[in-house]
Amino acid sequence: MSYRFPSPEWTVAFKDAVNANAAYREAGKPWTYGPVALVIRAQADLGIPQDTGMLLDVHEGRCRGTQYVEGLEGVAAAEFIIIAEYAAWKSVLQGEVDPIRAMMEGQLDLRKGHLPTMIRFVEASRQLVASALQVPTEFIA
Amino acid sequence: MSVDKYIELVETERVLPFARLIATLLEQNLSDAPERAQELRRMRGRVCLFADDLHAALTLEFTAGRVRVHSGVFGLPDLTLRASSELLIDLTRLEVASRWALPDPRGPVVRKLARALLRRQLRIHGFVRALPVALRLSRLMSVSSPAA
Repeated sequence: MSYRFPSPEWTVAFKDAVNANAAYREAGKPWTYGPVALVIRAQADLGIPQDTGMLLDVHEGRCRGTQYVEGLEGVAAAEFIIIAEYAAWKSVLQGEVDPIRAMMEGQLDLRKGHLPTMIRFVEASRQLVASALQVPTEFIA
Repeated sequence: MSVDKYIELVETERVLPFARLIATLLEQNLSDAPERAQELRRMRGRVCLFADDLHAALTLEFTAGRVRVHSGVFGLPDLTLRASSELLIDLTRLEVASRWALPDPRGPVVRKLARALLRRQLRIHGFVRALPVALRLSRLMSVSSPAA
């Protein structure tokens, strides 16, 4: 069974994949810096009428919960907000582009959050991507 | 031009995201640990960072206690670091032997970069002559927790 990206179901499957990832548990163990929001920019032609976010309550190597929200207001409480176009998320989540490289190219925009902390946890970021690769995903485009 | 007390991202027709990210990194590092401004005050010269996989470069111009971040190559660099974007970011993650604030040779990131140097995946030009600049740069860009 595949999960459409983005969707509430994909978000839950991603949470489960993160929690099943021992390498993430190790790399993310020191993370106590609060939830992270991944936001897909609105793109009407893809059926994403407004900015859509997945709020990940990551803490000490585990994802304690997720929330699928529409609109940036829904993720405002996150300590880290990363925004990108759908195509950029697809490239990153398929492992085609390293997340930090995507940031350096401007494909991922760290709209909110402490950049040095994000860089310090680059291995944890990569393990989040590795977790996403375990989720059977149906991309819109 | 966007101006901070210590950092200036030189706004040209096309500001590279790479340059903007490094400027943000430096700005936040200095905000987290103001004592790093002492390193900045001692720095003179130009450092060029080349990200091969991004086909992009930036130049850090250090003068009078400030750094100007230029998109592209600006002037004649005293020090050039050329590598993939991954390795350039790894330079900010160098483990530091706290006593002398030098890279800790036991650290996995330091060892990774040492291997990259040997394999010429990381190339440094002007390192010997600009060694003080290189060491101060590593301290300025380090994402190690300020308490470390």
